[in-house]
Amino acid sequence: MKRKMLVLVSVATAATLMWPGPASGETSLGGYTGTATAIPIHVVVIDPVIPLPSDPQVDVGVGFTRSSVDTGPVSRATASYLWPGNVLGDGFGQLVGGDAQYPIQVNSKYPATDAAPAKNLAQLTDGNGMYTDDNDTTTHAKVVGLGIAGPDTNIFSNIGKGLGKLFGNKKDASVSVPVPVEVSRTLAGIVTLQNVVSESTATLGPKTFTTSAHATASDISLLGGLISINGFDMTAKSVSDGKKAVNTGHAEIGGIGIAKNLITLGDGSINLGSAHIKLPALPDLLVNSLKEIGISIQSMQTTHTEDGASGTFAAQGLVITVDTKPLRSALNAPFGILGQIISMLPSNPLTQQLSSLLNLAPKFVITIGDVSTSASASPAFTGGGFPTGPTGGGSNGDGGGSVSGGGVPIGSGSVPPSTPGTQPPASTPQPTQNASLELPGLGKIPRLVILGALALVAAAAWLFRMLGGFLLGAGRNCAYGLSTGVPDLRKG
Amino acid sequence: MTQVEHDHNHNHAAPRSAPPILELINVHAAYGRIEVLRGVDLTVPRGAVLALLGANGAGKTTLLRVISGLMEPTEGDIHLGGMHVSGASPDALTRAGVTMVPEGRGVFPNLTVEENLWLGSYSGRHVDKILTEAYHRFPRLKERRRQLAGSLSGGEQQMLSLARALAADPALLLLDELSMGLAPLIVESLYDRVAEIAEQGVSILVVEQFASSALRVADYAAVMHGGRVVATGEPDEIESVLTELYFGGTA
Repeated sequence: MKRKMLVLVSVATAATLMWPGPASGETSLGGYTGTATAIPIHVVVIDPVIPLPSDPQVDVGVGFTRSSVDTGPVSRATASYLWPGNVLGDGFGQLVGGDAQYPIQVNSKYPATDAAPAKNLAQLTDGNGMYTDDNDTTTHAKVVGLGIAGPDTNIFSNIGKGLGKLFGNKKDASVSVPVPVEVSRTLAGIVTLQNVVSESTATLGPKTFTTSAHATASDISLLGGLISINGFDMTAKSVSDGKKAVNTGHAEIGGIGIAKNLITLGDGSINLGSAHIKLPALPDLLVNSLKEIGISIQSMQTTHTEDGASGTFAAQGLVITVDTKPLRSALNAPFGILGQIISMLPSNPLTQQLSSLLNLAPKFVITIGDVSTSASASPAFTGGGFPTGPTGGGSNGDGGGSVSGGGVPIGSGSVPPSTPGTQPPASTPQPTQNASLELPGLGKIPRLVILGALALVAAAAWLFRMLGGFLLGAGRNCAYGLSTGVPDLRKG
Repeated sequence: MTQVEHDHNHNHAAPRSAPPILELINVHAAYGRIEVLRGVDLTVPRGAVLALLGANGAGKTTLLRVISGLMEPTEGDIHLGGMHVSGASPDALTRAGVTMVPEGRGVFPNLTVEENLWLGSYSGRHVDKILTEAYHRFPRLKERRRQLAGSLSGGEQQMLSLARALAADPALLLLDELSMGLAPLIVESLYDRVAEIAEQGVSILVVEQFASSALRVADYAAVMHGGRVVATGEPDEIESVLTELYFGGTA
């Protein structure tokens, strides 16, 4: 028995002496958590009649990406050309039973698993598909698509043949001609679009933890062509260095067209900024006309919080709410305002496209450009007490910055590092820290000091165990001379 | 432990060379001013099943609460595996290998069967292993794994409670009124599982009001009355003591 113990102690000592020390690329952060989500087009259907255990009942994200990281790191990247909401997407197996997974998605995890390898992809053609990759520093999900088209696919199949090719994580491109993904008439009635890019990234740098989301698309056609948008580009970013979090974002939305008539606002486009930037008003005629047929448009909604080392940011480019009841009435009235609008459409069979759609639900909400990020980190213990940087009650400032190139920076005033993982710029206020209290990195401590410390800890543990035993015995010894403490009964 | 004792002298039947897994010496406990345990002496040898019998109010459940650390004794000594543990906390005792299946099952009704079993993984065992073992031992739980525990039948809830206790890999299992509210056939089936668990070397202290099932699987038995252990011995010996206690000597 003693010989075994001696061998064990020798092996442990040798292992300690040969321990290579931490890798240089490791983060100095003690803990971190965050998620980035990008959804270029987000359609939500609210109809309590639909028998699904979620609210809203239908939640469809076109070009969904999500990257989340927790301390460890333990991370997951998910990319889906068509995401049915988290309830159905993540809980598909529970809803349908068995171990089934929602098919139109790829995942990567760190640590990697068979179902979610470090790199994963499913694509229709080269560069047109869903991609994820994940390692100990970067979690990344991307959807690149040539868009969604609305051909005469079988309405009962609901998913067109193009989308079907993404089933089963097929890794090889089997279609040589790049074509937009074909979807059902119902979905195409709600939205078609081109050049979709959705990307979410979480990066663990040496001193910062960063999450970023990017969504863009062009030639967006909503409600069978009733509303069109030239394009949009949205970004969001949260950075935490363990002491302070900073959010930033950028939004750009092109012209909006109603019934093919482009309505330009501002400088050839609608520039949407953060809450404190006054939006150019939509023309009253347009707003009132749309309201009469049950459509309301809200532009640029952002929420962001910075609370010490935690930051969250969410931005939505355009939120279009459609109340189908007045729309259905308008559609049936030949001389109503919708009739006038339809008459302006040169060739689009709007009535046909919308008729099946309007039987769907009392209300649906279409969000153009839905991006959100969150990042929270805490510093590693340095032996010098708690960090002395700014804590809690961070500003909720709506930031701002100058408008340029039709885009508007949104978020807080200070700018985070532009490259994930790099240090904040010099202008970022750095919390003061007493250098004399900093401990050297583990790799720089002499091995004998580590061994000595371990021996001290072991001795202290033994003393505490004895003390604990004394306390557990309510301060008295056993009347029968037994030692006091809690044994491991499993050792027999 | 072959001698039937009708007093509350010590009952040290285990061989002195190997300390018993549980030894209680003159244990007293009270709820406020009401003394419930009045000097309990009891020994559970390692690997044995001991059935602790007695009428309602005899102090059986209180004794289990004291052993599992949920209640502090006011006097006396508790030894586990040859060490003095009086006053140890419930979590320390659970880590040491003492696990209790409480009266009324204690399942979480709003969690699924599987989620209830996951709770056993706090002991440090891998959840896959816990589930595999539980479903192997109780196939019915596998059929019900996605179902809320509150929607299970009484017998199924008792299976779940037992499976969750076993998830902690106990060395000493304390079972409180396993048969309560269950049909006789279900009770027999549960005690069959208890016998299997005992065969794997787990020491078991089972508290029961209804003696026959517990005595069927027990190696030893003890009778409590008025807060004391009034008789200990082998099951067949104890049956006659019970008859005397309950029916005044008539069978």
